[in-house]
Amino acid sequence: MARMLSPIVLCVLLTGLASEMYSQHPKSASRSSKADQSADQAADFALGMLRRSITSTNYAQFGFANVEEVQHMTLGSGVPLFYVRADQLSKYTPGSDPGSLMIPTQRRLYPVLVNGSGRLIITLENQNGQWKLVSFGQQAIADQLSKIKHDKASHSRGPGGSEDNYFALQIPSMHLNFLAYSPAPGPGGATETKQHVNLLALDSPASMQHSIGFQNTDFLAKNPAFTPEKEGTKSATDVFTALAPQASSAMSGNAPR
Amino acid sequence: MMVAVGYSNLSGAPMIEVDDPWAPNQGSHYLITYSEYVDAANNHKHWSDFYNFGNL
Repeated sequence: MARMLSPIVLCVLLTGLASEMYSQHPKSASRSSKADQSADQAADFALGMLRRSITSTNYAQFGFANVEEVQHMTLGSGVPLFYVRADQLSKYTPGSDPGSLMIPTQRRLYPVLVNGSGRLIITLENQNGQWKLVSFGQQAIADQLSKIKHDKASHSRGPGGSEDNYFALQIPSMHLNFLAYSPAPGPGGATETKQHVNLLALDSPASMQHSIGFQNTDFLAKNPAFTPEKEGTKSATDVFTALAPQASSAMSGNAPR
Repeated sequence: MMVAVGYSNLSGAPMIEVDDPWAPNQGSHYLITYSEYVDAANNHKHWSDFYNFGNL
């Protein structure tokens, strides 16, 4: 059980400044593998840790209706996680490869389900070949992550028709989360296919409207289906083109003293 | 900016319990490892902690 603290306000700089460039395109990391299996096992172990962490005093904070639900938690299928940094997004030019901005994280997100509904997310990170727990949380997108991937894979043809082709994409400095899919990688693939990364919104419309990324743009008004409920898809090229002018604003600000 | 409201030790891993005001009108509640609190490459870096504050 967690011990209580007097509240401490934490300040963090979203999106670090050190550049760790992408040695791996998202399309090459979203396939099932032995590494995925070991991650699945670690996620299962983390689920047991989560059961021990949720008590009669904190279940509601974690998004559960009652403490009995904790015993009914199951693990959804995981997805690899990629980040996009605001400093690099600010330099994005329309038509260029959006995949080149997607930085592999060695992390996977696993939705925790109760009766098929996503309640929170377990985040794991591969550290020197071993999968380690990073966090429990992200209640706001847990249900969307599990539901949308299943829905889209069930009703799509092409690359969107396989759950293995999906990955999560976060722009931390803008508080934006997407589910993404792309054509299979393949040696010698056509250059233009690299640009075919498609995004689905995981954040609520209200959350996206408050994000610095979409403020002062008409992107959401012009694309009303780009919501978790409507499961509308937009190309990463279109989304990044809308977000790029806002990215430098997301980077502004100084460390608090 | 977010608020640390508790701490625990989970199978040997020091954890911090966090209330995050994002998403608007909803917020979120996390358990994160101490190393995640300090830094996550390409995501965030720890800046400052404020504590022992109250009404003037």
